[in-house]
Amino acid sequence: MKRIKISDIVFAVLIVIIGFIPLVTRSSYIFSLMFNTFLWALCGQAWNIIAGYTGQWSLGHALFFGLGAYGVVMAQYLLGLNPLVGLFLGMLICIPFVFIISGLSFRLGNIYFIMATLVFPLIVQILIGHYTYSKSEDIVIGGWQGFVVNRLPLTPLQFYYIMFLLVILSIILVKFLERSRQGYFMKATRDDERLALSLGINTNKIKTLAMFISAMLTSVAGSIYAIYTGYIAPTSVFDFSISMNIILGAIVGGLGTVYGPFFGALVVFPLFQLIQGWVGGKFIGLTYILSGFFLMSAYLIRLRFRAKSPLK
Amino acid sequence: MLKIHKVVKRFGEFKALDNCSFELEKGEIVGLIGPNGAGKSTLINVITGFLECDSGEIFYKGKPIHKSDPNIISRMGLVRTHQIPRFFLFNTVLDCLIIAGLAAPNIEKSGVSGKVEKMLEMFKLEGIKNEITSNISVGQQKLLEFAMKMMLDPETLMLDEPYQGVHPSMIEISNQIILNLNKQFAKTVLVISHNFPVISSICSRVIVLNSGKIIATGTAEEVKNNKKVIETYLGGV
Repeated sequence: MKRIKISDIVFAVLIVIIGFIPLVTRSSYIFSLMFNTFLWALCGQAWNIIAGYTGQWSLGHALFFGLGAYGVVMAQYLLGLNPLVGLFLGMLICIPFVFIISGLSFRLGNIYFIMATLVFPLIVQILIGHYTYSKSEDIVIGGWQGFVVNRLPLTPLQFYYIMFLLVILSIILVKFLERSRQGYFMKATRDDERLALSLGINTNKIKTLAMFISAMLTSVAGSIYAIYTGYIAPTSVFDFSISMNIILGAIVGGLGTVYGPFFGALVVFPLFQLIQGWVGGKFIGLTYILSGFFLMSAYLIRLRFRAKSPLK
Repeated sequence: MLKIHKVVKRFGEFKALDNCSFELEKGEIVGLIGPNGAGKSTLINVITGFLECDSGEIFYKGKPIHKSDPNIISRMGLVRTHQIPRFFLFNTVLDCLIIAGLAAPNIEKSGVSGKVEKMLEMFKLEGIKNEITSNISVGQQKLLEFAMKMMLDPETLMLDEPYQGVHPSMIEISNQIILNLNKQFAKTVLVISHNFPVISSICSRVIVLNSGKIIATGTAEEVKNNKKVIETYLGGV
């Protein structure tokens, strides 16, 4: 009954190739480029669960990304703990937000849901922007200036593999989810919520569950981003461009598919980096224009594809 | 089994349901007829929780359900189908039934496929089980939704226009299924239809709805000769 699909083989080949890249080159440029790609692949996979499988297009996932990043900051500054504790702290902070967003936004239909979720990261961004932290009288940090995060003694190579491993784990998680009862309910909710309700499926619970899993993964990505860059500010982690990056790979690669976000990120982000490096500082907004172009073409291709073959 | 008491539903100024009261006994097959816009579908929507009534009460097995969510009502064993059949697009007939089976209470994942086979046979859908749902005919789609709802093993079924746009031989299939369910498992069924001959052939009782009011109840024969009903259907003289 179980058969191996082409996408499985491509995925396996890609894993091997990416796993062996560090044997070929030690360029830190490649490492940082791939780290970025993996980061957005992980976020894209997280978003895939809520948008691709459950059909709830949350455009506010920067919120969970930012909270994950600020979890690390809180662990370091308020509790004086290792940034790795912050990773779990970030997930913990996300939980009430998952329920707030779910409770408020899932009542709204489609477009209003998107608009509502768009606002949450902006609210939290402003709140955090006004929060400053002072260690002594004359040193005030935080607020819009942001925080410096203690960097872990990890090499770019180690970051590369950690992120790569997380991406693979997220893919396994989604693969597992897809075959589970909850996964079927998510797809049922996406395809026809009214029918799902009449089948006795608690669609609100399913959507909240999807939001929860999605938020946890995004939060982890945010925490690792904070540890990796060593500096975060409200404008860097709660920005709309973060939400944009989160959805870009997933949409280009194919929503509602296990490997889509990974493949999509692998195409889009190295390409962006190359183009940005090529044009330099002349066209700052070029990647945004390209993002728009990618999203539109992905949508058009998807429409044609959908008309011909079933979406599973 | 099901008790509807003085249910009122307004859409703005318009009263879609006006003081509707009736009861369904266990094991009954009841027909619900009425002209277009009489409030038949609204009534089913209100009973199954998709719409909230403005006033009145609905009890199912003695429990009030007029404030419950549709998924909870469905879990209680009161399941409906839709006038425009609903099914999962871009999926095969088989997948739809599997999803419905997974949603059913008290059924193990391993037991689903056996039940799906049974359902396919009962509804004569085996031949198209691997078809994409959007490619099958409207009649088959109606049967598919019916079959999906039967996967839940409901005690009470509300069928919204199961015969509309359906070939007579398929009407026969649904009728046989409804009668069988009723006889073997004592299921309670409420059928909405415009097709009076079919309704009168399977229903023990018929409720006639017009402008949100119940204007007659009784056996098919009684209803047919009711003066108000004749007026409604043939126009006032």
